[in-house]
Amino acid sequence: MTRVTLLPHPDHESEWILVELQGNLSVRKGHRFPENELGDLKFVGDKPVLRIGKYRLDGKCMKLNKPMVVLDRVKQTQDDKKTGKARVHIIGKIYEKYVFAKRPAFVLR
Amino acid sequence: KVLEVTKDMLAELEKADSVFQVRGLNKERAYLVTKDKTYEIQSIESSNTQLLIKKRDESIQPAKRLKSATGVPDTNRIVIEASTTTHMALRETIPSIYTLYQLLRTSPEYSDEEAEAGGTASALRDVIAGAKLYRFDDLCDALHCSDEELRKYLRMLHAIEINGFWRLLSTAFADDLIEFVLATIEMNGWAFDSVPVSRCVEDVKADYPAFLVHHALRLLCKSSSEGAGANGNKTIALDPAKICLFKAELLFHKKSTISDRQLMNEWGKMLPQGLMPDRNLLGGVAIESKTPEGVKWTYVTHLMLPALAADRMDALFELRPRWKLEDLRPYMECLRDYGETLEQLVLKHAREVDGYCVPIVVSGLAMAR
Repeated sequence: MTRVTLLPHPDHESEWILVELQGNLSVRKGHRFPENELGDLKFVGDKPVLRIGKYRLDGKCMKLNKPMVVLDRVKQTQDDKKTGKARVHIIGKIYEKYVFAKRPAFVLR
Repeated sequence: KVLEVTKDMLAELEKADSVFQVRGLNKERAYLVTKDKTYEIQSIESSNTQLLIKKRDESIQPAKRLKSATGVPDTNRIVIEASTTTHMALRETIPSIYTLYQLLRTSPEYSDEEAEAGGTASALRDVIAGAKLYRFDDLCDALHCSDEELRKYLRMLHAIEINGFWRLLSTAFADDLIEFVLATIEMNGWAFDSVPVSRCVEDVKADYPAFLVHHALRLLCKSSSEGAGANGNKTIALDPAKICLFKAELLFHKKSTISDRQLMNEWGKMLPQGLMPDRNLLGGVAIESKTPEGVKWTYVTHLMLPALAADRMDALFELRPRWKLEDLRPYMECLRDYGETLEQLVLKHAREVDGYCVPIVVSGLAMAR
């Protein structure tokens, strides 16, 4: 029976943000996400604004009802495999999210 | 991956002795256990794209409007660390004591035969070759529960650890053991609230090894009852209610149904001086019912009833047609879901009439569903 232990990583105090976009993000054929910039994020007042290509998405900040933690699996050692143990690091905490739920606006400039 | 937690769990994470483990991965459900709680892990999907970014103080400041040297609001380039369409949510659960009980029953009960063989590891091998035995970790894995919850259930089931394996004592053996220990205490004139443990073990050692005597004393003692007697020897305070209850169960082990008059008469004779029989102690042990011949008591513990709530209510209504909610508590408490009250559980399978719980009646047929 495998047991997975959750351990706080030295960085576990770092705060992360969840950016939620309605719909799916897709990248052009032949390109991969890690190699491309998504866009620009700025704040107008206290509202986040995301600019992706010619589109502008207006969002809002929301506090999460329950906090979340970000998990990162640790590679199993030979001993871990023999004993059926696995470890996962908690590498950050999430307390809020930016939600972009409105239809993107086309920006000419 | 992203896991939803509670604020208490975040605080718990900081402690040096914190335990956060996921168990049950090889089966359909996975559970997160902490030191003393169990949570079922549920995967929640979202049709939205969720990107994870790090919050850096020098960049994203919702309250501030960042400006460049020209005074125009500046933008910030953020690295997307990961993306996901699911997150894991937790639902606190109460592990089932009945699953543990059924597991322990698949191991042979510790009995006279094994005790006479000496209770050693080799005697264990000889007596129960091929039998399924469980260590603490095996039980944790089977129940997917926290260590504290498992220890609590093992105490409730009167299980005992013998040579690293958790077992139940056979009823007859447990009765003889506890009777013997009580008789030794009475014979020596030790007060029940101050029983010298090492002297008790010494006096009984010809008949029972120390680990069994300690077990018997634990079953009868008040919680947090350890103290120091004369000369600093450890003493233990026995709970009079537990002694009374043990004697009542001894009676019921011989005769499962008994009239009220006979019960009170014989029970009173069995009790040590100073203790009186008390019907209020029999909740969850015996069920009182009125018959044309008078009041009678039937020996029924929660472990003797079906493990499913609906079946259990059926069985209880067959024994007695109406129940006060509080009388159902010792039989139904262990079947509550987390966050569910006893009343909510019972009223799924019964209805309330004039302060009593009765079966749900449909078209003249009595049903408890």
